[in-house]
Formats: sequence, C-alpha cells, structure tokens
Amino acid sequence: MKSLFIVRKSEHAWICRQFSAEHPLLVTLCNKPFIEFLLDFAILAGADAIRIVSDGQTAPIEAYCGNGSRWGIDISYAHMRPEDDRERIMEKNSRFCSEDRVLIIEGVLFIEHDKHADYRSWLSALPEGGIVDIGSGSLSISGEPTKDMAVPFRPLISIPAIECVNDYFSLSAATLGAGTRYILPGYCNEPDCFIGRNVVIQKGAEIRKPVMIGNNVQIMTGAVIGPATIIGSNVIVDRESTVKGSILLDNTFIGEQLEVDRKIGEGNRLTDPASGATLMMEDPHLMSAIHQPADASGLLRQLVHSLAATALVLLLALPWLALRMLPAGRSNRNIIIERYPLLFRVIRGSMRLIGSRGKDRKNSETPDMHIRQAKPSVFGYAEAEQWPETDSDALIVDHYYTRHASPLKDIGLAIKALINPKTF
Amino acid sequence: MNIVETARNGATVISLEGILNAAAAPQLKAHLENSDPASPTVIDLTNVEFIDSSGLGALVGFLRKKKTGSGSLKLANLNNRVKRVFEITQAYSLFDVYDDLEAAIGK
Amino acid sequence: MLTATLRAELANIRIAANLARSSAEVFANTHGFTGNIAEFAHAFELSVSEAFTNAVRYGDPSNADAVVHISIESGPGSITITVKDNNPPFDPAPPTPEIQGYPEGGFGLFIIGKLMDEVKCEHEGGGNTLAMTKHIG
Repeated sequence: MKSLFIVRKSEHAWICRQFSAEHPLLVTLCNKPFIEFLLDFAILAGADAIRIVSDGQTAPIEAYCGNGSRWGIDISYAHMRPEDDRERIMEKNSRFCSEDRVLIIEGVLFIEHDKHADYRSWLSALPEGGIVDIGSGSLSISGEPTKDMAVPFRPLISIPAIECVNDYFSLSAATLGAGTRYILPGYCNEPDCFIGRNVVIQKGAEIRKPVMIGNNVQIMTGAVIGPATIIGSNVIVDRESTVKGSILLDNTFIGEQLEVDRKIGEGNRLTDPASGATLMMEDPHLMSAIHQPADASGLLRQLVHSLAATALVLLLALPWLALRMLPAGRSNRNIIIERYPLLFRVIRGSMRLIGSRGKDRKNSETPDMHIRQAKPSVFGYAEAEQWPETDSDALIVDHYYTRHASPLKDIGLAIKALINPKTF
Repeated sequence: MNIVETARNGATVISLEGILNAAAAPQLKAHLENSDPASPTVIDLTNVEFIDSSGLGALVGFLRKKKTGSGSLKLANLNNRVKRVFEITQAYSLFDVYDDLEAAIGK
Repeated sequence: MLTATLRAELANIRIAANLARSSAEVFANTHGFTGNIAEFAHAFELSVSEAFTNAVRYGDPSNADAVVHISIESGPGSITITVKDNNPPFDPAPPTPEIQGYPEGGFGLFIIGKLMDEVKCEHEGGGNTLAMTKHIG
C-alpha cells in the first residue's frame, strides 16, 4: 500500500507562529514531530511508499525525513496548487497512485492510533472511500480492496481537532498518558516514564510520573518534575523549581524557585494554554537573543556620550601628541592613546563612548545579531568591569549591559573604564 | 538542448532534453514564441539533465504568455534536480506539476 | 587550489558548472561527507552556473577578450568556489523577485544564497569576486 499526505500551508498556520517551527508537521508533540507520528501510523497501516504533497515549501520536511530510509520506506515529495482538490492531486500524482491502494491523509497533523492494533488487515478489507472525516481533516482510501473478506472490527483510529494552543496542550497530556500506544522517544523501563540521553537529575530532585524528558537536560537539586510533564531537549530546571502538568519545549531555562503549573515553555516564553496569554521570563543565561530596548533616551544618551568625549579629547590632547612622537609598539602606548582618534567619532555620534565592543565577534556563534546592530564603542562594558577578556565571558557582560543600559549607568561605567589602570 | 514537439489528444507536448541554462534559454524561448498561446500544452521535463534560473525564466515567461492567452500549461516529470530549483524559487506555486506525462495530457 | 580562466561567453557556462560539480563531488568523496553527494555537487553546479551567467550577462559585450576566473579551494571541512569577473560592481543583496509576478530572471544570487553556507561578494581591482562556500560535517 501507498500513502499520500496532503498538507496545505494555510491550514495550521497558527501552530507555526505559536511554536516558531518551519513547518506545522515539524512541531513536536511529546518530543517527536507530528510528521513522525503520521509516518508511524502509515507504516502500521502497511504503507511502503509515502508521498508528501504540499502547496508550500517541502524542503524543511525533506531535510528532516530525507528519503525515508530511516523508517525503511520510500518518501517522496511533490507540489500542488492551493486550489487543487483531492481528485486533482491524485491526477497530478497518478504515477505514484496507480496500481495500488492509497491511504490519503489530508489536512491532518495527528491521528490517534495504537501501535498494537492490526490496521493492515482492516484497511485491506475496507472498501474504497472515506474512513474518518472531521471537516478540517480526513482519512480516506482509494483503490479496490485487495482481499474479499468481511471488514474486521475497527481498531482505534480518530483525528483530534487541533485548532488552538489548548487543543495542542490537552493532546500532549493525552498522548503522554497513553504512552504505550505510541512509539515515543527516550529510554523507558517503566510505563509513563521516558528519559532521554545525557540527563542529569541532581540529588534531592523528584520525578513524578507520567513524565517525559528529552536529551541534555539538567534537573537541579530540589526541583520537582511532574506529574504529566513533558520536557524537551537542552532544558535546565534550576534549584527548587516545580514543573507540573506543563510542557517545556527545547532550549528552555526555568530559573530557581519557580512554580510552573499548566504552562507551555519555549525559550524564555511561558504560555498559558487556557487563555493563550504569554509571559516572558527573565533570561539571565541568555538563551535567547538580546533585543535593543526601544531607545527613548537615545538623544540624551548621545548627548552624554558626546559631552564626555569632548571633555576627554580636550584633556588628553597634549599627552596624546606627546606620546605619539614615541616609536610605535612601546608599552606606554596604552589603551586611551591608541583609541584617542576614536573619540572624535563619538563626538560626531557615529560611535559610543562605552557599550558593547563586539569587535572580533563577527563570526561568533552566540546570538549577538542584535548587539551587532548597536553602535560600536570605544570602551567595552566588559573592559570597564575588568572582566577577563576571553571572548565568551566578555560577550555575556556586554549582553547584560546592552540590555540594562541607561545614560546614568553609562557614566558610571565610563568612569570605571577610565580609572582602569590598563587605560592609562 | 533538444526540443521535440508532438501533438497528442489535442494537446501540444513539448519534450525537452539536455541542459536548460542561459546558453539554451534563447533557443527554447524562440521555440515557445511560435506556439499557439491558446492550445493546451504539456512540457515534458523527463530528460532535462540540468536547469538553472535562466531556464526557469524561459518557462515562467511562457506560462505568463499562456495565462494571458487563456491556454493551459502543465509540466510533467520533474526530477529531483529540477524540483530543487522550483522549490528554492517557489516556482511550484505557479505551475501545475504532474508526475506522469499521460495524466498531464489527459484522456 | 585549482584555477581556470574561461572566456566570458554563454557557451562556457556549462564548462564552469561541470567543473564545479565534479570538484565538489571529488571533495565530498575524499573528505568523509556523509550526506547526499549528488545533492552537494548539484548545489555547486547550480551556483556556479548562476554566477557565471551573471558574469557574462553584465559584462561589456564589446570586449571580446573578457574572461571569468574560477578558483576552487578546499580545506579540511569546507570547499570554496570563487567566480571572478571584470565587470562593474553589482548589488550583493538584490531584492528577491516576487514569484507571483512571473519574473523571468533575477533569481541568480538568491539561489546561490539558499544553496551555500557562506557567500562573500567583493568588488576590487575593477572586478567582482563571488566566493561560495559549503561546510561539511
């Protein structure tokens, strides 16, 4: 048997926005993208070739699923136009669909099923036509039945509607609760408890079933995880925090002594599934990118920097001229002398006196894109704090101050930078 | 590049073969210029070894002409290399793409 | 490093693209690339085809001696193919054509950007250098 997945980009568009996924089928449910559950079901149903047809980009799914060798099946990809109906799509894929029965899965993210049930013989006896139809999505089969026999008892099969974040939330809980029905990722030596690779659970931390934990996860002392909690990969739950009835997606950090109850966490954003309200958590570990705050005090700041730079230019004019006469490379050519010409740029407004240095960090892999857009500066925050000048540490200090900077702080830090013995 | 045109079931079938780049695009454009904008046309890409944006441009130009002349244009048998160019440029959203020449021609 | 100098004419696009494909294929085969080699090589074939086409298209048509230089350089984990012409500078980040407007061109640099891991575009010494890099592993 073959299977045709029809995915329209207009369907499920909300789920991409909610979870910042490239494709709705790549949103994870219980640490596994929707597409894998669909593949599991199609394989249980006896499909040996699957074609994914979309009116949008198929490249993200192709990058994830490849040619299907991981599942021992053939996966191919095709395009359609948004206005194409099922009949037209079958026609466009007639080479794929000919000479075989085809299970058509249309507009569906998830099918409730049971890996122990025998879908194969049930489907092969089923007459051509629709199987389940919930309006937004459907399951149907084309081609004459291969076996002429009575249709056996219908195994578990239903399509849940996933139309808002709360639907997703309750589906996650239901899927975890019925974990034995699905092929779920992670090591599982007792039902309802799935643990991934490289998971550190510190002394005094407590895990309450049912729970699912991904890879590279740290649960710190005194933290309580569960019940009914799904934790993705690269997640840290800090000391004495409680996470219950919640979903923490990949790359989430939960700080100390927090209580997370019935929430969805992703990065530093917490969403309440019932109301859809979101909350941004303080992000001291900088797992998300820094955004420059809206610069209301920009003009004032500019003025402060320009004035301070003018004062320095006047003050240092003579020493600079005197020291410039000395041959280059001498140790007494200190920071302020080297950077003296830059002060004029501060007066002109193209640079800041103090800020993120961000000089050799163009190729850095840390998320400093937003910082790069800020104006360059003569002194770095990290320098002012006399932080060791290793790149990553300095970057963290720079990030911190970029986020929390104000004209007043700038003055303080500029003075700090100037009284730094290395400067003079 | 080789261009072979045949008439089948009231449709014009244009089979392309070889490399479809800027060197070949003028030849293809010239050929397509002479075709009837109102007749249903299927372009068979089975034997296209390579296509780049210049080749795609010739197809897009032809499609535009077809749309204004209210004729139809279908593409058949895109191999993975061709599909990749359609995917990157999102040209798939303009064309009707069939995996079988017979189905594209219709009964 | 391998270099080739080709006359800037349409007929040479294929030669440049083939050179890029086979070099990328050899590189992938000998440097332990685990992905799809045909796809990897096709990315370079397509990118060089686009870059060479631009070099020919925007060159001075009255100059029959115009040439395009191709150089292929590989490191332990990356391969870079550079296409250098003698043309006036071009916009390294042109607007992406809107496909719904049936554009017949303008996709060259956009396609290169999608296929490559790194694209460096410089204008120096009276010509454009377009360096296209892919990393492996």
